[in-house]
Amino acid sequence: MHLSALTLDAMALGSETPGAREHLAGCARCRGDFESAAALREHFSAQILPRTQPRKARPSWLVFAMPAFAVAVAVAVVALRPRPHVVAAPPPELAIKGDATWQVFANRNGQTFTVHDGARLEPGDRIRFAVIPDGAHYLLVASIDGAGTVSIYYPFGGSESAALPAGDRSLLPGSIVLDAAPGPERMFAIFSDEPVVADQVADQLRAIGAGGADAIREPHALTIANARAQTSTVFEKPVQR
Amino acid sequence: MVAGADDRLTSLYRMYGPVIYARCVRLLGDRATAEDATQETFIRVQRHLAKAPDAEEALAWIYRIATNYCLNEIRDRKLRPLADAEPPEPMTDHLDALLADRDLVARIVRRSPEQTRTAAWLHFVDGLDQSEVARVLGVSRRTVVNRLAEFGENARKFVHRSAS
Repeated sequence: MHLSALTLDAMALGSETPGAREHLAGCARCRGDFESAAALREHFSAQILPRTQPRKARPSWLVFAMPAFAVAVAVAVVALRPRPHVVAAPPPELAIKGDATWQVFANRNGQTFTVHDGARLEPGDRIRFAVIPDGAHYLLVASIDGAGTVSIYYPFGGSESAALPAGDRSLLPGSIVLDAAPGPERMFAIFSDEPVVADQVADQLRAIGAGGADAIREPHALTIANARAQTSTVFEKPVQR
Repeated sequence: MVAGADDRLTSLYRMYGPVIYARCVRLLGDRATAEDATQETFIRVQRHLAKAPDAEEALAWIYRIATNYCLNEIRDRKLRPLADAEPPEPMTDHLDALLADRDLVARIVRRSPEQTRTAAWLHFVDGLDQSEVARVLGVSRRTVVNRLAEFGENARKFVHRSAS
């Protein structure tokens, strides 16, 4: 049995369930869930809360009424608040055009889970990618890690994009086994109609890596002339003691 | 709105906002949508502020609001670009083992009737036991048992349809 999401979140708020701490110390899956959520909570507290929390000087709680999709509400509110999704939001993960996207899976000790931004992964975890090309013919998957190392994951070690398998959705062949390099690693998927040269991508990734761990954690849109769409996912690996 | 209500909402947002945001990311899969969902959740909290419970029960109450909102988003806006993608590991035919696969359960939940899907998500994806689900949903444990049983039937049908 694992700790429930509610129990983990209650712990984050300072509520202690008997035995929960001991379980967390010995369970990689629960610890991974807890640490992933902790990274997201930190992001919210540092980046979102300061610009979205209600201000007493304002007459109401309109600050809450700005979901990106609520157009009508947005029109009414836009003059009253600092437009968080326009001004302060990071660049969209799908940065160029098109709806091509991906999903990253990890497998640890036989358990498969989806890797969301900020996920805490472990050395030895196996990573796989599922993609929706949305008409794109080629894909390059590349990453920059906390040690400043650039890796080309698809095609593995390749010099340019590889043709995508036919179909609306594809699970890419093969898996990546994570090494022990600690810190963040951001993986980019670059969809295109023609092959993209890996060196062009690698140079930009090295420039990101030169900015250190925080630069890797920040969303980036690469400048790739013939890209149809791009997306990225960042995860963290712990420092090994 | 009176100042006291403002203070209460501010307090709830500061305390539970980070947790609810993390939860929304887990459900919806991306940060921008989760930020919207967090704000929508607290709009609903504001509407029902007079009913907001205190202390420990507040988390369960806001959890329910956030979960219902996110599952409705998934249903209505098709925020599941890869919901039909094959998960990377081979599956088994055994229902209990299937329901231990959180990704698969998430896919089945998205196809389930509203009445059962929130209970199923909380139990199978989030790992809440039946008592915790009952607490979050504000229903009896017997009701939870019935909803989970109904979900199990839906899951069997989904698996059989997928296999045939």
